[in-house]
Amino acid sequence: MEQQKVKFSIVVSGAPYGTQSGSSAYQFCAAALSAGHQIVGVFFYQEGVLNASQLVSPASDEINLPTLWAALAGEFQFPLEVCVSAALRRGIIDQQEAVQLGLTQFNLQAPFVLSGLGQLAELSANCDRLVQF
Amino acid sequence: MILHTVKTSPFQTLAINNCLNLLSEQDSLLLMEDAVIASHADHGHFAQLKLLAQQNRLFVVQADLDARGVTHSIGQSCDYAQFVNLVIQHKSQLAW
Amino acid sequence: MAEKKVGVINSSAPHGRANGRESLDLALAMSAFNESLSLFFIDDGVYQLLGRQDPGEILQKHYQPLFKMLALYDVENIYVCVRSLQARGLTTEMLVVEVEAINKEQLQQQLNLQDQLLSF
Repeated sequence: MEQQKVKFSIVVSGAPYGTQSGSSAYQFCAAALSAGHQIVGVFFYQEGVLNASQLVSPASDEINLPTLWAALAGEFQFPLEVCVSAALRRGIIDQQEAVQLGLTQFNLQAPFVLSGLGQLAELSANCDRLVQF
Repeated sequence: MILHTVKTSPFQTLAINNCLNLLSEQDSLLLMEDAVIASHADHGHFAQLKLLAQQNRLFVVQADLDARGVTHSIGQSCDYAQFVNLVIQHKSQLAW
Repeated sequence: MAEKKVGVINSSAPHGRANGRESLDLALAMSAFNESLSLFFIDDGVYQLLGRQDPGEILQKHYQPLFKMLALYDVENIYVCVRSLQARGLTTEMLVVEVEAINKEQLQQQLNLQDQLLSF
């Protein structure tokens, strides 16, 4: 199986800053992709939803994880799914939700998308290996 | 055949203890993030980890060791490419 | 292709962290798509099922009644670690849902049967 192309789905439960888990997940994805494997999708849950904030603004000599995720997903064409209920509770909002909730701001970074837990079920069904960080 | 991944230090949480409680004979343990400390310094479960290492079932993320300036005295160090292969070689992964 | 067996492992106490609530949300949602879900309550996770919770005073949501939904959603494989209960002086009679209390070997066996594991 090692030589074959393996399909991974990834669950990110940790924030992009404050814990290392967002970085670990990103490095795992990058390594899997450079070995020729496929990332079916990354599902951001719990504090992981903070990885999708466009407003993450680290100092210029520090890593900006939301930007790195966006670039990796763009290059290898896999979805970045953010659990909508976990996101709304933590202040991660897209334009459509902002309109619906009467909020003046939204902050979801493209190409992250808000989606339901059903998407996780789909990622789970469509992968060879599910890895959680 | 589970790849258990632990990310917290044995001096900080019971994750390694709890993981070892449920580790089966065919399972492996990967120490990552702060958990790499468990491969470096002596602690309550060091002997158990050493036994796992002798059975080639203990892995330590090298980048996490380097980041913390510590060296491992037990287990096989691995890079992320090897981490990916470990996940492939096991049926499932359990994050502690 | 056979449906994947997914195990959801709960090892955190309720309320101090949202793990328990978000794990239950996930289990209820995934049960609509996957009929091979199993829930495991180990270590402090057993406290999630302990009755008489009243978290209103600490400004937390009382999500425990939602555990009753698991039966309606046909999530029937609910396992609790006997050793974790015993270590905390708890018994299955004190829990709000019907569970299967299993020992370490049974727990290991069940975990090894799962294709995927999610941990909270």
